[in-house]
Amino acid sequence: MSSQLAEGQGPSPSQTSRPRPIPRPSPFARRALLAFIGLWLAVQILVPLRHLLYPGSPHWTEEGHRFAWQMKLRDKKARATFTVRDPASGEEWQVYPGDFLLRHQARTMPSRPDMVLQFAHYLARVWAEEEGIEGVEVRVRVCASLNGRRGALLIDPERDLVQVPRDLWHADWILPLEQPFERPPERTRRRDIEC
Amino acid sequence: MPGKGSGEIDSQAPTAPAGFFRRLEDGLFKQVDASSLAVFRIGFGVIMLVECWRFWEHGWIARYYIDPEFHFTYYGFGWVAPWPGDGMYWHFWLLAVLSLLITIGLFYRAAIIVFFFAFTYVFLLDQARYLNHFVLVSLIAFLMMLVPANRIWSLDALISRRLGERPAEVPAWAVWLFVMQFEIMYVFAGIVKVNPDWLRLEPLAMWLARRADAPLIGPLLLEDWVIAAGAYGVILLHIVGAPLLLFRRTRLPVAVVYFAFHLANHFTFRIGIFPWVAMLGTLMFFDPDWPRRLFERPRQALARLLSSERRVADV
Repeated sequence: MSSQLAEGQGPSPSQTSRPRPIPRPSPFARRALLAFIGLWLAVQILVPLRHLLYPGSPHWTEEGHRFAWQMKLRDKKARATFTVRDPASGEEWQVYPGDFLLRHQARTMPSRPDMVLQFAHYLARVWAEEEGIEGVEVRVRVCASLNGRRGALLIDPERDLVQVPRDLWHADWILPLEQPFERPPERTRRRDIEC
Repeated sequence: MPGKGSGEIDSQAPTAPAGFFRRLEDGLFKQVDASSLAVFRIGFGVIMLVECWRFWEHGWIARYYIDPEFHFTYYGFGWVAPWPGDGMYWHFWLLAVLSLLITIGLFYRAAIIVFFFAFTYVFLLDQARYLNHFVLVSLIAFLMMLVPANRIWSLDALISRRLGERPAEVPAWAVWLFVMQFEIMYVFAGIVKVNPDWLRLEPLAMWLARRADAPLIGPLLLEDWVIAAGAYGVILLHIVGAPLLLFRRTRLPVAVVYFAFHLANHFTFRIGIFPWVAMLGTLMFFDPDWPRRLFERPRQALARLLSSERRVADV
């Protein structure tokens, strides 16, 4: 059916001979299109390279990792325990990702520092809006294992993340990856993540 | 020889850069066969239709976009939020209808424009669902808004033919945009794999080990030389192979390797629509009239067969 549409086998075969030439675009339209194509290509090439502007491995920090065709490169397992603290009363609460998130979110968030930060801000909001406790501090202990390495702390556990703004600058609260590469003793079983 | 060559260029354009740009411009604006772009449109529509069905079938619409109380929005897109109530279901219905319209090429421009925004909206809802293949779909949909992918093999073309228009060609840039998009993706996919962990075979070795129970090839997936061949072969394929897709002489063998690569990925890692979109994109590297020639050949063979049968009958 589709190949019939192709040649335009209409009622009279004489009309199917040659397609009418399409009017050429004006010089201005051509230049505008060329400029757009150049800009598009520049963006497509520069955006995936932006991880070079950040220190450290993008597989560990995740800075510049998205929108960069980084595919099948990291096996990252992480566990996070959040501590919400009310400085006024000194009261503390332990929060696990699964308490507030669905499974797929709880599994992804701990290994992605920017999402950990988002979640910390969310916890502060929940405590303020639902519990009426304003001004809490949120700290997190994230133990992460990258590509078979032993576990290591991903985020500075002393840092109150509520005070950290969300921006695109390098996050100094992400700890550098110091764990050396080491293949896991058993390939089929992940290491237990301990820090 | 050098004098002659430069003389020729000079006669066409005053300076060398202008000559280059003119040739580039002429190359991009020449008219080429519309059939490869039409195949791309149909393939893309079908893949997205299947993807909508998969979201429905697996219950992902509720799980990912309705059930969570909190969504990890993208930086600068904090205002993007799921529809209330059953809205997300209707949204996926809309995406499915748009995919169908794109496939059959009816109201193509309107359909692809709405599709781009509707799909990108879903992508932006939650970073926990970040997937490179959704980025690819968004980029493709954006480029598809710009090109006349409905020029042939579409209901739009059928209607415009009734109105007396019958262009069967598209400007070369419309095809070339997709070629470049996939070329960039492939080359980057190779460059990023030149990193210490991948060169030491991780995480590939760990992942392949989980497939060690596969029939026949299973035990091989635990062999370091097999894993190394795969890990280094992929880098070679993307960094050397992908540029070779741009040349007519090397195109077919490299494309065959790419198809094998994507099919192997599909069966090993079950990564959704990505292999299918990538294979569809790889087809764009071929001469734009390849589908027409492909369909032409059996038709001519059939015609020959019929005419020879007639001759036999006449005898």
